[in-house]
Amino acid sequence: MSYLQLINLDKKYSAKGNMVVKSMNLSIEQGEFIVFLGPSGCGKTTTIRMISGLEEISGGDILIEGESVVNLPPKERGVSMIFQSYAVWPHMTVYDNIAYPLKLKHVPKVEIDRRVLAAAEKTNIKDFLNRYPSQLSGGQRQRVAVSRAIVVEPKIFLMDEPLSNLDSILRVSMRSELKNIHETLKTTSIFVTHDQSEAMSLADRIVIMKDGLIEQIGTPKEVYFDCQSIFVASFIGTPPTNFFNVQVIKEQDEMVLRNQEIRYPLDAKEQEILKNYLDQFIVLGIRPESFEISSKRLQQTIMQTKADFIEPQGSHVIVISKCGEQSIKISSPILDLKPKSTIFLSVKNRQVMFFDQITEKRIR
Amino acid sequence: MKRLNPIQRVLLGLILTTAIIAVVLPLMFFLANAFSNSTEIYDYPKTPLMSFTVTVDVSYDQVTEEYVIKYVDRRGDVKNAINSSSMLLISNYFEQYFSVYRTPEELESQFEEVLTSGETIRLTYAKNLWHNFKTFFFITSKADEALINSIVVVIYTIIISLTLGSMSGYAIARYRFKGKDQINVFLLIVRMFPTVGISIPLAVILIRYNLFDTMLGLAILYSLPNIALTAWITSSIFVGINRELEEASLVFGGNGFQTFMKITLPLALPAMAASSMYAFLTAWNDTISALILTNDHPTLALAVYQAIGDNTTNLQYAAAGSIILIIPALIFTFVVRKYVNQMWGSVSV
Repeated sequence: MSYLQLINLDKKYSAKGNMVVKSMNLSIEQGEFIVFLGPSGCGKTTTIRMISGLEEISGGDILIEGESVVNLPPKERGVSMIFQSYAVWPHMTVYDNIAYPLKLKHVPKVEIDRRVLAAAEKTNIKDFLNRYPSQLSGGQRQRVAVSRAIVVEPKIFLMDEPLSNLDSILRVSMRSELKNIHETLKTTSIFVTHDQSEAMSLADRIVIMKDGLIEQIGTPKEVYFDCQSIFVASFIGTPPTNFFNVQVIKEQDEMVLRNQEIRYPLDAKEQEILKNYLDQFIVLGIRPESFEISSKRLQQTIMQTKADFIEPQGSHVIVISKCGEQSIKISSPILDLKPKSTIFLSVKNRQVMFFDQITEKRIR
Repeated sequence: MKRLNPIQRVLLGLILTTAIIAVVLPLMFFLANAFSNSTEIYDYPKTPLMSFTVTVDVSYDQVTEEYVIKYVDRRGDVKNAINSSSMLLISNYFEQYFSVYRTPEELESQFEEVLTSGETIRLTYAKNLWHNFKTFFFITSKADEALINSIVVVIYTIIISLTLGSMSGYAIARYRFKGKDQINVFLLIVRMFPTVGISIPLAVILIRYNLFDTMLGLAILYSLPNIALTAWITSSIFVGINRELEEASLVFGGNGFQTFMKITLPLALPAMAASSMYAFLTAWNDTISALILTNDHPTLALAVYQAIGDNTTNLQYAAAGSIILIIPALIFTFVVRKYVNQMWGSVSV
């Protein structure tokens, strides 16, 4: 049995309003680090607020260790939370902030002392215990929030975009610290973010959400290489995946994907997948880094285009080019590419994805 | 900050000076009055400066065998005061008219020189600055009771308007409900009513519930506009308090009440302080409503007002009463000021 289970979870804010979360089903195992990823307004924050009990649910059930917690107030659910704004109480010292949950539980004072110190040690804020939050930097406040969350030894650790208020350097280092804390404590964690690199680096499994629906659940590797829908393919990866409308047609013996610029011959496996789509239009998805650029036409070349702009990224360049009217982005290790030069594109290791044009789901 | 050009600077200086003069000058006249003795109060023209001493010319009239005491005002004009041979009478006169406390023996030893030399000597005495205050309590019946009444009514007013006002302020800030905008406007409308207008109908109600002439009844009247004001002030602060701070408390083991007491209320302290200051000042300074709603138990402000009415000739005592009235308000405002200043600062983090 899973540790945390969401069963047909629904949420709408008003009787007539839109469903913010639509019959969501999710099972989370003990010790897992789950990341909810999605654009703003997709219902990810609402979901963890429903798990924490700060938001009432409109339908369905939430089970923690097999028991429904829907009717319990937040404090009895055994969860702790890190908020986007840190939510460190400005009128209390760091020590009081961390000790607050323990004081409310009437833990003996010696025990409080010990646990606060231990928590502060884990997050390196031992020296600031007597300061007020206004005397701390953003990163230090975030550490206070983390200490407060781990001091209660929760069943589930909820994090609502905790890194989004930090600057980019601090964000990366806090990220690895959070990962580190999770490695030591092994507390089941749910982390909400709209930043895919955060999601990729932290998660055991990523839950990608869109408009209140789960688009895909999978390990970082799965959601990157094995996208279930056009949305996931476009949301994960920078620059985003390039999509082309192509027709599946038969030329002589060979099945190919064609539009005015592209000619992509299918191999046996791909032909098998697309056998029902003959003469229909599908969406072909190719990641920027799956392209290979060459200066002359090769046998595997699928299209010819011009490198309009080059954006150097240090280790690689991003080539902005056109396929017909459509702008495409190609990531290439060829650093000395000349702008406006003609390039021939082929695909590495047949790393392409096919999507149904209507359902926008992967064809497999 | 932007630098001002010379014209702007001169203008700003003029405006500030005018403002300071407009505040400081009346205050100085007021203090000078409150600390002047019964003779000085008739000095004309008046100076805004307080005097701490009294100067008298003393001589001895050989014919009538009396001491002749003449009062010298601050411009040096000499005015007749008293002729007497009785040291006791002179001592009493000094106390009553000069606010100078000297025993007959002390005076006699100081006047001895006049007896022997026969010349006029000029003596300067330090005034007893508390004289007017003592006299105020002495001549105003129930002044001490009025002081206690005032304190009681202020405490009641602060408690009533702060509890009801902050709770409604919280509701306005945090919950969505029907007619919220209308209630917001109504809160302002409550402040439009002149207290006199409410006092009379309220007097009828208070009589009916045996609250007439009690401090609680008076406090209820003062609370009416202050509940509205408190709700306004606190709701704006509650809106500014990040909701996540309260939610964090809920997640980390607090129930609604604990969260309000331990998180929301301390963070709203500046607003509370500002509101309590307003409540204090309304209740402390009001005379009109107290005049209508009390009979035998006046508040201090009312007592001072009545003192002015009763003693048109001895204004210095009423002025001294006003000082007694100002001091607690001043202390309270200064204590609370610290928190009010925070209101435009570090509340939300």
